[in-house]
Amino acid sequence: MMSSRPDPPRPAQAAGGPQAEHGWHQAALSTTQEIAHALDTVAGLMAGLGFPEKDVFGVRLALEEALVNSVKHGHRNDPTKRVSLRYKVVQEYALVEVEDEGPGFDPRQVPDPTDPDNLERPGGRGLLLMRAYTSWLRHNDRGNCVTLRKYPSAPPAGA
Amino acid sequence: MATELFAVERLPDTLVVTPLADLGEFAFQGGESEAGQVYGLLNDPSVKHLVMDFGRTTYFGSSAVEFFVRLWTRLRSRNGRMAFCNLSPQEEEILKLTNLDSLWPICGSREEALRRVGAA
Repeated sequence: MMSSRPDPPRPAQAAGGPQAEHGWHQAALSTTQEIAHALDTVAGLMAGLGFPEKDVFGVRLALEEALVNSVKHGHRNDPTKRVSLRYKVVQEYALVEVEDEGPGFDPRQVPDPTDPDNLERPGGRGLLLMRAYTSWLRHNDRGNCVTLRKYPSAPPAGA
Repeated sequence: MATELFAVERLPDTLVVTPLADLGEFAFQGGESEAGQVYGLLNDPSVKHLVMDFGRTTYFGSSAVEFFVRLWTRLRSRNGRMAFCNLSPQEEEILKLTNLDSLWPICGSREEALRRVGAA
């Protein structure tokens, strides 16, 4: 379900990182180590702000799915291409954007993998899990950039 | 047989596969050849059933789920069965979200899983 709450202003596009602007951080990722570090960083920020453990797990899983999708499908494992990660984690939400250099895809064309007719077919489960573990997600028109938002499922610890 | 990602035990007509590390997307991308080795064990026609024992892990991602589906379709073609056991709450939730718990029994113990597949 889409939220009526507006997005915070995005950071200016810039190479390299991570950089912080209005609470946004961004990084250009290409190696497995860089991606693993980014996952740990986002999860650590959420945990530090008191997000429930299941929310931290869910965002980490959804972000891992998005990043690997970008490398594997968007870049076809081309190590010269970089994935742009932008994220903002505050007590009210975690907002993450993953953009690749690939041609993009149309998520509406991905079959529902939970349909009994599709259970034994490959594909679509990464997107399903990303949707299941976030409050909402959306793709840009080209389909090479996905934005994920997660609201805390319970008030932050100590709030 | 054992690799960094999987331990495999052979019973007369059943394989018991134990993932040794979380099969998140990154881990699985790095371990696709090991997954291929496990899949290759199904070339032996005397292997009819498979039990996946998740006692050592906490979660898996979509690529690992696709791998389980591939194993299942191969087994099903020879009227074999597959069961899962010792799942963490997160792993059980992922199987339910993907509706794959409708294909495979989820069991509390390895013994129960072996009974469910009818291991010899």
